[in-house]
Formats: sequence, structure tokens, C-alpha cells
Amino acid sequence: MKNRWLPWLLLAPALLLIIGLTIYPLLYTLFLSFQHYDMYSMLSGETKWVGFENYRQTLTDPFFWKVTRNTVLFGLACVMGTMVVGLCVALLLHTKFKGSNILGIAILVPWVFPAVAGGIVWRWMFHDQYGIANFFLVKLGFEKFQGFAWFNSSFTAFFIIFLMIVWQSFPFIAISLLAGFQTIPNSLYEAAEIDGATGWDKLTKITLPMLKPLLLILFILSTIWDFKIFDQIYVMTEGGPARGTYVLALYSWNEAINALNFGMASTIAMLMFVLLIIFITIYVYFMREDEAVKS
Amino acid sequence: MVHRLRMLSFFLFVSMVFIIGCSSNQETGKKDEQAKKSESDETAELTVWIMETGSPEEAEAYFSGVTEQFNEMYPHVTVHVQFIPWLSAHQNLITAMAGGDAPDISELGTTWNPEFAAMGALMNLDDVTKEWGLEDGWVPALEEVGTYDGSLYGVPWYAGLRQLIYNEEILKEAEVDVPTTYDELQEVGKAILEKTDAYVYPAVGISQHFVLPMIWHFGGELAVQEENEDGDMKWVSKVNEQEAIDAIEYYTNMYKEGFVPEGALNWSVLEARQAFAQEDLAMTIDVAPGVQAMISENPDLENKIGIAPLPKEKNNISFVGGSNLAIFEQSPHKDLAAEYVKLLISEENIRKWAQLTGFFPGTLEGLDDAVFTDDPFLSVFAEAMVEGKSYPASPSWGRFEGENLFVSPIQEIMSGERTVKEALDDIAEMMDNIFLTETK
Repeated sequence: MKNRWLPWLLLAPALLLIIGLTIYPLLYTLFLSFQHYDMYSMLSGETKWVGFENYRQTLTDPFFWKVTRNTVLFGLACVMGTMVVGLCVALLLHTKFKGSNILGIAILVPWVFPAVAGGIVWRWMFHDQYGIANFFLVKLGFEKFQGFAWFNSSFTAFFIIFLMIVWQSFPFIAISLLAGFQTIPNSLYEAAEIDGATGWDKLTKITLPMLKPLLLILFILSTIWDFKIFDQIYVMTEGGPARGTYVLALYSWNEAINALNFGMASTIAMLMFVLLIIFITIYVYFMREDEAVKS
Repeated sequence: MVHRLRMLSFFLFVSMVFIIGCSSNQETGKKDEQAKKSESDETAELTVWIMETGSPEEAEAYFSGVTEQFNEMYPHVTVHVQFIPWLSAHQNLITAMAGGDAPDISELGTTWNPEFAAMGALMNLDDVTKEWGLEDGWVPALEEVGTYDGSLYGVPWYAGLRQLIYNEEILKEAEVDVPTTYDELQEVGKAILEKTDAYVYPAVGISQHFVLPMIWHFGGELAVQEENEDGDMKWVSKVNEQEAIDAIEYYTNMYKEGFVPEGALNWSVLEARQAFAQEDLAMTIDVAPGVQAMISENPDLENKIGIAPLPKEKNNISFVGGSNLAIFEQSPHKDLAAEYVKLLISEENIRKWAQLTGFFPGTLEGLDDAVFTDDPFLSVFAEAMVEGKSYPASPSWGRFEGENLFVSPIQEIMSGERTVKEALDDIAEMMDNIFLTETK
């Protein structure tokens, strides 16, 4: 008879790591979110159980709702932008033209670019006086962009951050989709051609439906990534102008590290967690529906 | 095109350098013969956290020199000096303290000093400084922030302040002199805008060190300690009183009148420095190492740069910032740590460090030296040092800065989203709410 403890023993290192690095911090954050835990608690260790007070304060704060709206709209825009650009690039690479292999490798560059370094470079490029973006726009005849201050309004600032995020995340999507394309048997396209299908028909009736599971996973991954964006915004605007580009991750970080208000920061983090769970549930719901149809 | 590209590459460079500590004087460390008088056979390890400077090798050499002096007295004590970047230092210290792993000694940015003292993290230094005969003799502004609840928790180490830096050539072109008052600044500004293509004055969106001292200049205060009903001393914000409103109105109007480009709403000290180095800005406000940085970026400036006291309304007090040295309550070797601190602030060492970083010694005896008082350039800074002020020594001040409390409202006024009064009422309310959470 096999030792029934052996599998657990072998799993133990991985399980301990998972518990130590994810389960415990998650539960501790949940615990902290019901505490009043500020800078004075840190050394004394004295905290106060405040029940749902942190949640009440956060949920009645109009700024929290503004930040949540920013996070959701900006996150969704980034997911859509990334997916569309990723799909277009994947289709382009799939057509196999001369040099497409080199291009396939070249598009990985933004993806391997460290987020912080990328943020700094993009901030330079869109600097109002010395940025190369305004320089070229003026050269092209758009005089309006002489000294145009991209980061003066939260809308244009978000737009630049959006471009940067898409630039940085599309390669992963493109490469994944390209791999996905190669799993679709050619015979399907040949049969469709015989029936007189156009390129558009092939894309919408064969390629995308066949890749639906892959697309859903990519949507989930992108959503998680784009809702917790921190580095790029921190580097490019630090949440400015006038806290106009705050997102939940930055808000929670600020409460913890700058305000040393760990209770409140944990509350924001938990609410952000709930928000992500909602979005992921929606995606998973679609995926299951899809499987139900198949079986 | 070439000009623009050069500017761009210059910008890349400046941003990378970020904070430049200038340094040149490299005296070889003379060994202090007196230190030999008593050798201790105590064995221990000391950890010292020092903020990174612009010249890491020189800083390392400096500290191995100091440790050598220290080891002459305590040959069996190992000193580990660790250099940590300014940006992550606050976070690192907090994490280390919470984990019970704080260093024995750390350099502290002055605004953190009251905060850590209030948390009970720092050793009370009243007795040791009395022993050293140094109860007074500190640069007053730094002593003030090192003091919490009447006791000293951080020893002033080095100090810096900002003065008015101007480009003589641009002022000459505009046919004006350096403004000494805010009224003159208005006229000078108009002349510069009319007769040159330079901008005037760094009325930028992201710099509390430019805007907050103006509240003092107009006769106001940032916050004061007042007795409340229970007889406790509590900090109370004063940023929405009339003097402060006038000061902020003046500052933000400079932006609205085009004394800086529109994008300056998002400029910080770095962009102001860069614009001045490019000779696109006639005047700026900066610390001594900042001036060196601008000259090394654009050597043409060397003969055009002038330094003057800040403009005056009721006064022209400069904000004095800098670093203190603190010993942590968690340290098991407080006596040894105190000895090491004593060595760091000894007259020769403190002066050498100040020169290495480009700042000024935090002790009056260190400051009283021809190197600082006779130099035409450094003396303008040194003279304002004793009169200079620090921000209120409240434990919450670090939090105000971390949360950019003085940035967003200024930007909102500049963009016309809110009036000065509304924005300042809002800051005052936030400050008062946070002051209420202070335990003392």
C-alpha cells in the first residue's frame, strides 16, 4: 500500500509557499481592514477593532468613488486597447511576409522594457517644452502643440498613460494569439474559401470563435494587470495633476506608505479585490456558458 | 532641430542625474591623535544608514575614514555603513522598525524626525548632548525639528536652504535689477516677458519648498501649537489665514500671468532647474548643489549666474531642510552609537561631510568657517542659515509631504478649478483633522 502522506509531504513546500505568500497576506489584509492601525500602532503594536468603520468612511468618501470610476474606465479602456492592437498585430504577423519573423521578435521589445524605465521615457517624450512628441507634432504642422502640456489635465494625462500601457502590453497578447492561430487547422479556411468566404468572414466566423477560450483567458489576465496598474502612473504623474490620475492601487499605496494608515489602506485593497472578483466572475460566467454549448 | 535635440538629450541626462551632490574638496583624513587616549575592548556591531549622495565613492571613503577613527577607540566594534536611496528610505526605515530590525544610527530627513520620535522609535539625546557640551550650538531650524515634546531626538547634521538664482544676462537684456521685494518682482517679471523670450520665475505646480516659505514672507504661519480645552498643546493649521491667502494668490497669479509656461503646472524643482540651465527661465530658487548641477550642465552659465536673497514682503525667511542623525530605541548599543554620532559631528568631520555633499554643517561651530562665510557664492546661503526656519515640527508633517497635500490644491488654483480661499480652507481642514490624530 502506498504511503497516503507522501503526496502531501511532496506538496508541502509549494503549499507552504502559497499559504505564506498569498493566503496569509490576504487574510491579514482582511483583518487589518477592520482595525484602526496607524503610525502609532506600528511600534506599540496597539490596534483598535473598529468593525466596519473603515469601510463606512471609504464608501462614503466621494473621492473613493471618483478613483473607482477612474480605475474601472481606465482599466477597461486599456484592456480593449491592448486586445485590439494585439489582435491586429497578430493578424499582420500571421500573414507571413518577408521579415515577419524579425518583426515578431522586434515587437517583444516594449514587453521586456521595465515598467518604471518605460514610464520615465514616456514622460520625457511628452514633456511640454523639451518633449519629442510636441516637437514632431509641431513639425507636422500642428502649431497648437507648441508647449502643449499633456499632463495638465487628467484626461490627456490618462491618454498618455493609456498609450504607454497598450504599447507595453500588446506584445504578449499578439504572441499568444499568434500561437493560437497556428492551432486552427488550415482545412477549415480552405473549406470556407471554397464556399466563397471573404477574409472578414474567415476572421469573424472561424478564427475568433475558435480562439474564444484563449481570448477569455487573455481578457482575464489583461483585466487583472490593467486594474492594478501602479508603476507607470506613479512614475509618469504620481497621481497628478491635482490627484486627477489616481487609481485604486495608487490610492491604497498612498494611504499605507505616506499616510501610514494601514487600516484604511487595507480597506481600499479589499474593495479593489472585490471589484476584481466581480469582473473575473463575469468573464468566467461567459466561459462556462461557452463550454455548456459545446457539450 | 539640432538645438531641440540637444535640449532633449540634455533633459534625459538631467533627469537621470536627479539629485546631484557636488563635491570637490578631498582632504586626506588626518588621524585624530587625541582619539587614542582610551582603547575599549568592547565588541559589538553597529549598523549605520546613510542616504546615498551624488558621489558614492567619496562618501564610502569618508565613512571608512570616520570608522577608522572610531576603531582607534573601539577596535573591536565593527561598523556597517549602508547607503540607501532617499526615495525608498522612509519606507525602508518604517519596515525595519516594524520588524524590530532598525539600524543603530540613521540619517533622517528632517521632516521624519518628529514623526519617528512620536512613534517612540528614537533615543532621547538630551543627556548625551549635555555630556558633549552641545545643548545649544545647532543650526536653530534643524534643532527645532529634532526636538519633540521638549527633548532632542535627532542631532543636526547638515543643512541646506534655497536662495534666488538669476541669470544676469537675461536681466540685463530686460534692463532690470534683481528684485528684492515682491512688488519689484512684478515689474521685473513684466519687463522680462516684454523684452526677452525667457520666462520669469519658478511658479511651478509641484514644489512646496517654493510656495510654502512665501506664506512666511507675507507674514503668515503654516501651523502653530495652541493649547486646547484640556490644556494639551495641539498643532493648529494657519494656512487659510489672510496672509497665507495673499501669498498663495501672489504665487498662483505668477503662473496665470505667464511667468512660467502653461505646462509648469506639472513642473517640479527638477524642471525648473532644467529650464534655468537652458536659459529659458530668468530666475529660479535652488540649493547650493543645485546651482553646481546647473552650471555643470551648461558651463556658459558660470559667468552669468547670480545669487541673491529671496524677495521680501514682510521678511524673506528661507526654508531650512537637511538631515539629522538619530539613534534608534531598538539599538542594543546606544552608548557606542552615541560615540559614533559624536565623531560624525566633530568639527572637522561635519565640515568635511558638508563640503562633500555641497550643503552646510548642522552645528554652529562647523558653520563658522571661512569656507562658507567668505565664499561669495556660498556665503549668500550661509548667511540665511541661522535666520532660516523649518516646517512645523509636528509628527504629521512628513505625512502631509508624502501625500502631496500642498500640491493638488495649488494645481487646482492654477487651473482655475478652485479659488485660493476654497483650496486653502480645504488644506487647513485636512491638516487639522490629521493633527487631531496625534497622540501628544
